[in-house]
Amino acid sequence: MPGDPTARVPPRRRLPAPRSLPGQALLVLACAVVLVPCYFLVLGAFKTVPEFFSSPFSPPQSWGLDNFVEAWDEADLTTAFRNSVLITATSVLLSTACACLAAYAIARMTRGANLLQTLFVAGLVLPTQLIVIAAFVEMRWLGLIGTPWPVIILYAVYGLPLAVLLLTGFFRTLPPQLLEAAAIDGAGAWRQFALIALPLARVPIFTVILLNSVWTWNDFFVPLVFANHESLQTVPLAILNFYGENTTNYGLVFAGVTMSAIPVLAVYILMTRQFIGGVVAGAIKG
Amino acid sequence: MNALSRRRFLQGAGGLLALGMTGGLTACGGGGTSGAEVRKTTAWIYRPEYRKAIDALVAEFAKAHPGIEVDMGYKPLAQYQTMLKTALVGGAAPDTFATNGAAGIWGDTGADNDYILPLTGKIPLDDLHPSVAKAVQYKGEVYGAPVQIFKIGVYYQKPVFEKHGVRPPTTWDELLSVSKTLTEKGVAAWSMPAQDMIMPYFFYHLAVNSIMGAGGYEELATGKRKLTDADLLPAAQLMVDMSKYFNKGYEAVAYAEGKALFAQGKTAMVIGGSSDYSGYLEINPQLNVGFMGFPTPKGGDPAALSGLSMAYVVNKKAARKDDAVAFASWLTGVEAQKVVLANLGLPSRKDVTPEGDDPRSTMMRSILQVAATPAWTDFPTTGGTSTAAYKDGAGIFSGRLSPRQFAQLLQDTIKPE
Amino acid sequence: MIRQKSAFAWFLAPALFLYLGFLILPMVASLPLSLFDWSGAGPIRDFLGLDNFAAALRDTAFLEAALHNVWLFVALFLFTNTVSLGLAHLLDRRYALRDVYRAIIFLPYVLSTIAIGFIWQLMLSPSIGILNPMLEAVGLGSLTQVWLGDPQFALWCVIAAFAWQWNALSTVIYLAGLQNVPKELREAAVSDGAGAWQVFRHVTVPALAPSFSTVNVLLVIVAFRAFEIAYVITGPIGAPDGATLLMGVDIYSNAFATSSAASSTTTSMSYAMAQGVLLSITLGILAFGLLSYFGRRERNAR
Repeated sequence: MPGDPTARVPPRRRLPAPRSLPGQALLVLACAVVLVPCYFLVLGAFKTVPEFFSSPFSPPQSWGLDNFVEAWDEADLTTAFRNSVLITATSVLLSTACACLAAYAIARMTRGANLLQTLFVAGLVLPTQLIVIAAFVEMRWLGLIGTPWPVIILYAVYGLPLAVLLLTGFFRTLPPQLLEAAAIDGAGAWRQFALIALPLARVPIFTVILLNSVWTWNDFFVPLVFANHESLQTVPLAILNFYGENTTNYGLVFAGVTMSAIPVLAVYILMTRQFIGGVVAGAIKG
Repeated sequence: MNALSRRRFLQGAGGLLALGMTGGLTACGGGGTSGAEVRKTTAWIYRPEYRKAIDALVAEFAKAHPGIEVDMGYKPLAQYQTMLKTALVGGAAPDTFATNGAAGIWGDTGADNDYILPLTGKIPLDDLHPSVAKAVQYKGEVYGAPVQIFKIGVYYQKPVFEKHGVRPPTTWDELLSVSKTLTEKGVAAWSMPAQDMIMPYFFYHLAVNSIMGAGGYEELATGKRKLTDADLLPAAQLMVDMSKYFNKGYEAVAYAEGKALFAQGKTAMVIGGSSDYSGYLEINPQLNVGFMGFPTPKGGDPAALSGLSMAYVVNKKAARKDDAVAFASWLTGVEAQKVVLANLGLPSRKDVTPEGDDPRSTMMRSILQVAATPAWTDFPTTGGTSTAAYKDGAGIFSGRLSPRQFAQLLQDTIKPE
Repeated sequence: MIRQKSAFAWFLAPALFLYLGFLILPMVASLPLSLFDWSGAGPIRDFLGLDNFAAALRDTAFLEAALHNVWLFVALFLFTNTVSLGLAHLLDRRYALRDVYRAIIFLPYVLSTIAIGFIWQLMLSPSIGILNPMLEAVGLGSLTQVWLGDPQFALWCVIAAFAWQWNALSTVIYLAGLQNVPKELREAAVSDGAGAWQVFRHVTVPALAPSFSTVNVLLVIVAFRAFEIAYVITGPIGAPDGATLLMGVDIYSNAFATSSAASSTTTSMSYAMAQGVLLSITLGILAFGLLSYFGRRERNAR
């Protein structure tokens, strides 16, 4: 990643081989444990239903992409992917933007900061599933049912507690002198925030974005209830439709799951360094 | 931290934000505007795997009523109740929606809570099988348009039975001995997925009805007989005795997997309904199975269960009630019922019967010929037995509940009329 | 300073508006339901006072589910602070393929929880799963089990699935924490003659304090609000016979539907709400307790 100080590797040096063999063995073992279910998943994505039951362990008879094509068409994944991207991008950006502002204020406030932080963190422990009916009535009253907005708003709201928690922790670690110096130079609160604090918080912001987007991307419950028209359906919801009671088409489920995981994995690999550097920078401070 | 990366970051974030916002807004605006001449009516179905059959029904309806377009939503069964309740309470439920069984008529989402419109006079009750005609009525009104009935009995693998020289059992003794023989020969005798207790409940139900015979339901409903009566307790005991012939680890096997195991020929028998057959074929087109009623304790005619599988009800808050009613009542007509028979299961009309010699028609015909007793799930009086068994009945297999306690658990939910 | 304060009010406004309007408001509107008798549809029936709460505290299935959540927490806690921490330690060094290992370890986090539940359910199946055949293939045929069908193992299988997923995030958080440990400090300790364990104990662990608090506070929430993976693997009643029932699953089943095929006659949203409140209170005490505990430790460490 450009500009990440931890990523600045000295030019072209052979990476050392790992010294500890037991450590290396453990890593390989751990990766195997992670990969076996994934192998099963990807294998399954190529199998027909009868193959699943006759030879669950062996590779598929053909590596054709039939399941992927069928899953894509039948679940209308074009629409679903478009909706998922829109909903994830909008809600995560909305929630991250709000959380940045709020977390900065909480970190810099002297009175009421703890109360506010507690209020936001409470969102992590409340039974959000049980309030869907009340939330639905509210959304209906606002005339938003039938649009993507209820889902976007609720994801933004449900993403706030974690974002506020992590970002407040980070902003508290910023040396106050840094901002005071800017204040002396005549920068107001907004400019201090936008020009000094925000750029420094780049890494924790990436972290929050990644954590919340993975969750939003994969969650099915909110769109299940609030985006109950086919044209609004998201990827996890579309895949859920293959998981029937009368017949479960395992191959289509697995093909769908594989396809839905690819974008997230790609983003993760692109952002690995940012991310790993980031999680802890915004660690929780009591 | 250098200036370049800072600027890049802010630019990137700003760009993404703008993208997301405009995208969201266009998606919002694109939310389905319909032509002026075609009126839309919304509907829900609880089984996405019925998509092909339902699409065929909707297409057929479009031919009959070109002015009305049915906007069908396919919802996963496991979450159907959640979605439906929220939408009903929130006042945004579709104009018509399918009910899974008769509970949608008299249950929480039905007439008692004033969510659905009476259809009295719009459903051809006389043309329907008497059992479903009864199941869609509640407190003197007709509330549902029955789409298909179910007949639940026992499917068995013909080639497996032949290979091991056993015949379909007609008594409980034979049931036990056939299961034992098959198990000894290394064949898993039964698929009995018990994760959600649905199939075991119907096994027990079939066993009880096989003791009570045809008139038994009335006695149960009026309180003359109780599941805890000494002569009915053996039904619960039979579940325990049979459990050693169930598929490996059946206690936690999911419904869909249990069915698939049978369809793949990995097990020899399964409790199944008329609409399951198409699902089996999808998994295994070469399937060769027979359908029979449940054996009776001492011989006599094995009987299946029959009841309402699916009905459409009309939302009281439907925007255009007449269009919704038109769709629902059309579903009970001959054209629609033919589509049901060809794609789904057994039609609710008496006069639509399987013709032709293809395997599917033959199977449907043989299912229709099996005698049947009424299913408890059709009626508010006894419908609670299923939920009790699903929620708490698994104790019979773990030993937490004795057969008597299991019977008591279900009996407690029966409210005699 | 005064200008700053009013600016902070504006900073807080959007987040507070969303949060109060769409989380706290519906919550405040819903919580009183726990005092009534309401199935979740139709009219609200009688006022029950605290009866729902009393019933929940006497509900053996719910209490057993609570115990399962405690086991889940304990197991994940031990797992996280040994295995995940160890993996993070191994991934912290630089060597060939390190980034590949990192990507693989993080893989479970990007899969949807539904998919994870579904994969594990199929893998563990005694009929079509691959776990038993795999054990046989490596000569451990005697260890094959019916796994989920056996109440002795079922809960541990479900916990394993949770651990499989949770390991991804906790390893990455620890890894990030380890990268913040000043290299000079470690080198200085080594040149002072400290052994690997001593370096770990006296240099690494204190520097990891923020990671410990992040991981373990998230863990409390994950372990006590666990729902989807368990729901997919063992269904609405935690088969076999409640052996794997978790509080989240029980609450969901009571609130909406006991089973996919069930009529809705026995659901009780108000009862589920009471259970939810009890769970939130427990969780709140644990989470805030841990937060202040770690907060104090971090301040001391500084």
